[in-house]
Amino acid sequence: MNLNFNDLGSFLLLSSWVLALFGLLVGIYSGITKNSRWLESGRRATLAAGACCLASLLCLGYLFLNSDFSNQYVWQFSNKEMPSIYKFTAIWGGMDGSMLLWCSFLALCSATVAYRLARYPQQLKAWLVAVINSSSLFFITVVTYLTNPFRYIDAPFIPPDGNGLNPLLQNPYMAIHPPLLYMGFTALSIPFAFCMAALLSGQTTNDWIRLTRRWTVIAWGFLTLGVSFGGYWAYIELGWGGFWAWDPVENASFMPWLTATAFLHSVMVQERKNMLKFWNIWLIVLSYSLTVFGTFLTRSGVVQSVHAFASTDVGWVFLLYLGIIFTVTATLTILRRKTLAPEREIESFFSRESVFLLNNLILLSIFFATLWGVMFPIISEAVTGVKQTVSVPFFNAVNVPLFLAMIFFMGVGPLIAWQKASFVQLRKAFLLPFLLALFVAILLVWAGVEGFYPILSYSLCFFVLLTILGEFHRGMKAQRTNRDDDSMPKRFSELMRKHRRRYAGHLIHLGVLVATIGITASMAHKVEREFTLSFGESYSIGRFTLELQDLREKNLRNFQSLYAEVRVLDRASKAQLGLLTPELRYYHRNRETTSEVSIRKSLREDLYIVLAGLDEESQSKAAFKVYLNPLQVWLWIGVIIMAFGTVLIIFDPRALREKKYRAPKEKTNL
Amino acid sequence: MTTSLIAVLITIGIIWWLLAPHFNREDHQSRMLKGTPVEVSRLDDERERYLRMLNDLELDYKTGKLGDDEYQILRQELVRDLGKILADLDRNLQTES
Repeated sequence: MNLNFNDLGSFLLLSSWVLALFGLLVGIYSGITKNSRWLESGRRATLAAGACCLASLLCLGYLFLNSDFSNQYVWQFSNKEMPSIYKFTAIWGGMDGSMLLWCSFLALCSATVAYRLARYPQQLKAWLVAVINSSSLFFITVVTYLTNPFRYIDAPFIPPDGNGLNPLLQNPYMAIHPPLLYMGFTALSIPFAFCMAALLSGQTTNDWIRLTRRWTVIAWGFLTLGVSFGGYWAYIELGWGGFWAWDPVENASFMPWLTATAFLHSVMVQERKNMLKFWNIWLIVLSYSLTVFGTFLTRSGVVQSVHAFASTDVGWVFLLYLGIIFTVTATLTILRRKTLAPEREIESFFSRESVFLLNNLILLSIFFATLWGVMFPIISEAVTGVKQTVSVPFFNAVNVPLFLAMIFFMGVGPLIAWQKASFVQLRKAFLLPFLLALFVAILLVWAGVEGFYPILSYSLCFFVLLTILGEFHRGMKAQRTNRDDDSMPKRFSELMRKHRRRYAGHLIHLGVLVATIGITASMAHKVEREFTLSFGESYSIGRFTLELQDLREKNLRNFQSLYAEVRVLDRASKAQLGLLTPELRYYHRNRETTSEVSIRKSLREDLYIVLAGLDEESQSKAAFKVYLNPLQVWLWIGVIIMAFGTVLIIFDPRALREKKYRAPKEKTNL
Repeated sequence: MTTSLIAVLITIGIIWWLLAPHFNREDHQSRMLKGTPVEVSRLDDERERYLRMLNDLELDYKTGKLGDDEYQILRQELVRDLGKILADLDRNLQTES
């Protein structure tokens, strides 16, 4: 049996394109004619498109694992010496495979919706099939006709070995980061599809919000993890001691996160007050569009980035697609403007809904500031003819105060009731946390902590922490039961059972606080040193003394490594705390040298050491770069807490149950 | 040869699967177009919204964010509106059945 996986993958990709087109046309037809048989055909087409897309991805994976260099893409991004895991993850090492992975995830999300189609409101079904297939069709078109990963190599013979994957991408966190991010991006397409289906069908009640609540949280969770893993990869791989540089590619993944966060909060207002319908539609359209815009940004080559591993000239197709999305949405929102009008106004400025709205505005301000920074080189070139870039100082100067304002309102929100709060209640709720936070600020100044923003950040975090803990305490107190077991753990479990979404939300906020403390400390109090050491020589930094013990070499299949053995000693007691081994790697096939950092992590600080080079004359001297990043690990702990809170919301058993109303047998007196 | 054969089989399988709803006797009309009518769906949506608001109000009161008077006034408003919605919902469901 001689199966050609290149041809098979290509055929499956083409099949998924035909199926997505069929699904789109049939969805529109059954939406207009209400023909249930064609609707069922459209549903089946969506399922089949998902299966075909996924199968074609597996075909590409097979080609990579078998080092089939007759395939252009496999030859370009892998070689025989690479470990199997990186051969597989090389699928998303370049543009073609990344887009296929995106398509597969998108088709998988669409297929999940198609599988559950019978449960959705009758008016939405056909349009839902049409919209999810239109999204799939766009991306599959790009893959099939512009970035097809199943092209044969254009050479008279099959090369014996491939080029190999960029060494920077041969890292476990880079293996996970793109799929997580793409899951977030593609999961956002489902709330977008429901929203568009609601607009197309005219059923603009809160149904689409209710039905996509879990999808939105899933997308947000994956985006959070994807962005964080990207930051962690940059931290351990790029060797500059930081995790975020406001690079255009980083910003491209961060912008949809900002708008999705705003959306998650503003839908709560719509769910309760029937307000912000128009706002929410545009927020989800914006979030989805930003995933496409991010791809345009990173694939078009219009902005320069250290992360642009897959720059091609297909970016303008994404811009065209964005134009279509915005035109269709604008037309539909104008047509449906009567049904989108708010049913009530915000009753009081001192209410949770107004705080949510304020927080939304802050998140969008951060988004616009980031977008402005990203687009500035293009705008400046168009206006002045000179490409000017803005870098970290601009983003920090604009976004740090906005972030701190967001943290403040994150603490205020839980203390204010929905609808309206009285001044007396507000004073009662705020006074103690405010005074204690002020005390912390004074204490920090007294302890010698420098800088306005770090002190503000720590005291704000303390303020919000108190409000969250207070909220849990009051919530648990309110869970008095008549049962025998009235212990605090029992009350806590009752609280999480009855109000899972609200308190898991507080847990996510707690994660944000912990991460903020980590970010503030590691940025504001970072210590950076460069020095050279001979064997036996030592250098002191912070509470550590570093002593160069040896320089060694090792040869692996894929690369040759030169690494230093650096003893870490306690500066005061001279007790040994560990051994760090920063490396320089030379990848044979790629002919590239990379620096592999070595980090001593602790809850207090990260000792981050980079082997910068060797003294060419003596060969026994090595140059090092060392960073001391205080509280760095708390950033990653914060992300874990956020992820845990997200999982709690996704698997809320009360929300998982159907809540359809059943008419009572006797007429109600209410 | 094998690849072409598999491609042909997949194509036939997909075409058959897509067109099957047009040839079998299964009642797709009731399965695919069943669902809650628009008005019932809207009222059910409203019912859920009011229940959520009542739940929030209760928790806000118990956690000291609202005074007794404000709580009573807001609660009465919500219960009254919810009552109307449930009555409308019952009427619509009875008409439908």
